[in-house]
Amino acid sequence: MEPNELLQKINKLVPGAILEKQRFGRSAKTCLWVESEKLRELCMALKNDPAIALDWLENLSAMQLEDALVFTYFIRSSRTKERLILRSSVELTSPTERTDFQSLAGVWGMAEPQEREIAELFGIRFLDENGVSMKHTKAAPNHWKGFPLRKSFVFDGDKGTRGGPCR
Amino acid sequence: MIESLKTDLTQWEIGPYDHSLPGPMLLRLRLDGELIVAGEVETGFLHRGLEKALERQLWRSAIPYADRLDPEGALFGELALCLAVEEIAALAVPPRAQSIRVILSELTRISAHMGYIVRVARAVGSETMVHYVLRDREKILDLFELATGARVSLNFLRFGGVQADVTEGFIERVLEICELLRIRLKEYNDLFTYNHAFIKRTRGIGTIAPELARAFGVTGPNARASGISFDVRKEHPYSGYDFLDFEVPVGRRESQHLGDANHRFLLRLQEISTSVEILKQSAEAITSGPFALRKPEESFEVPRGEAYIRIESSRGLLGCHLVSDGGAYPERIQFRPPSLALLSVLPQLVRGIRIEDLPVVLATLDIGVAEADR
Repeated sequence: MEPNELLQKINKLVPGAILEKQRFGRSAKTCLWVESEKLRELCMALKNDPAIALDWLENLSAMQLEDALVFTYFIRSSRTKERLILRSSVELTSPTERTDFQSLAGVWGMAEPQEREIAELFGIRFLDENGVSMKHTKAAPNHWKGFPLRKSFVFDGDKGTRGGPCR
Repeated sequence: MIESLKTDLTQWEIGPYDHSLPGPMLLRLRLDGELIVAGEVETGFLHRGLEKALERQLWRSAIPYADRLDPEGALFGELALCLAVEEIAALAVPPRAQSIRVILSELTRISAHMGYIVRVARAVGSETMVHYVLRDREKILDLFELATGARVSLNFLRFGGVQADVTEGFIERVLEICELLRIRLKEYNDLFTYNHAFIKRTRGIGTIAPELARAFGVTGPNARASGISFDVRKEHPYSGYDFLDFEVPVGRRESQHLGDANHRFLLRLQEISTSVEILKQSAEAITSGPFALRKPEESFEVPRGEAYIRIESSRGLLGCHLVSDGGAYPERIQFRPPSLALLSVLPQLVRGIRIEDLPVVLATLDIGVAEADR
């Protein structure tokens, strides 16, 4: 399916979900910025629509850009082999508090372990369709405070400079 | 339907450190006599903050860190990182360097699969097989040492090529080991693969149905053993795999035991054969010419941009999402390890098996806890 054709179809399925269309890096792949409130609805439609059938979440990556956390979803169809990149973001309100975001574990099972990891390392509380917080994994020791993959995180004993090992 | 022994349910915790586990992890099991009725996995015991550490390194010094993603397949982490950087910086890798990368990748795959055979053999109590395979794996580690100076963490790839040209006699020794492995694979089969005791221990247990593999995003040899024909080397070729003629082994759909522990083991043996074929072709076709775009000691900065790269590691699809802000340090490096999907599917697989089969299921899944925890 051509990117423009796909975009038209998406706009019909979930009007107002797409904020912007971009090219991903140097590749010819399309990256769509999605309104965070409509993310789950859109992903469910992309998975269940027989012509699109994006049934496999290959990867979920998160990164902090200034005060926002950007989620990048690399999805593909195992039937048509079509690929799509979705992006959505949430503003990080506090350096010490968790921020809420929609969980997609109910859409793609593969999202669950990746969301659990992001939850702990970036300080996100993923909520299911009923607004209930998903279970978080515990990768860091019990005494650990803060969210290590946030840019604001500073390790004990250093001045936040780069070029050294993590302690 | 799960068999029931109608005994009182007991709760077991195995781990985080236990010889039957593939690495530090905690398994919480509920047992009805010898039958596992439910299982939960807790991971994170090997979390090293690898992605954070990568953000704190200069671009060039990030490579040895990527090596540590999966110590058993160190080259794959390096390769994924290098390919991502090369895409952002639009670097064209010289053909000789591409061939060296493919040769080292396939040697790593064979070495990792041999480690897998050893773990499966140990799980079923076949010590003889363990020694035979370790003997041959040493020869591959010798080749790594000859080419790179290291046996496990190679730190040999560079952005735009490799650290050094291959040592004199390396290509000849690769061809020799191809011949040796063909003989050894037959030996492994005679000794172990078709041994009735091994078949009885592995057939029909820990089956990953194709639908289950798709639902959890299982890739690599485990998915192919379930009949899913997906291999990144074919679907999104990199490093010149598209110029090589090879068949990817896939489990036969009509097979009664598709996707079980035995299938997963057999598929790895077939993959070693495929890797031998790739090695032979790459070694014979290697061209003369430069092995890198620049001298390794020259400073290097990655322009602003991002890339997402996929490669086929010994365990499946390894993804690397890389973001550069044009500075001296990576802005974000995220890995998508194939073992994460295996850990997710594990509770489904242990449900209904007997406790004595648990080490076999774990060994045949080939979970890399190091890469999952990072």
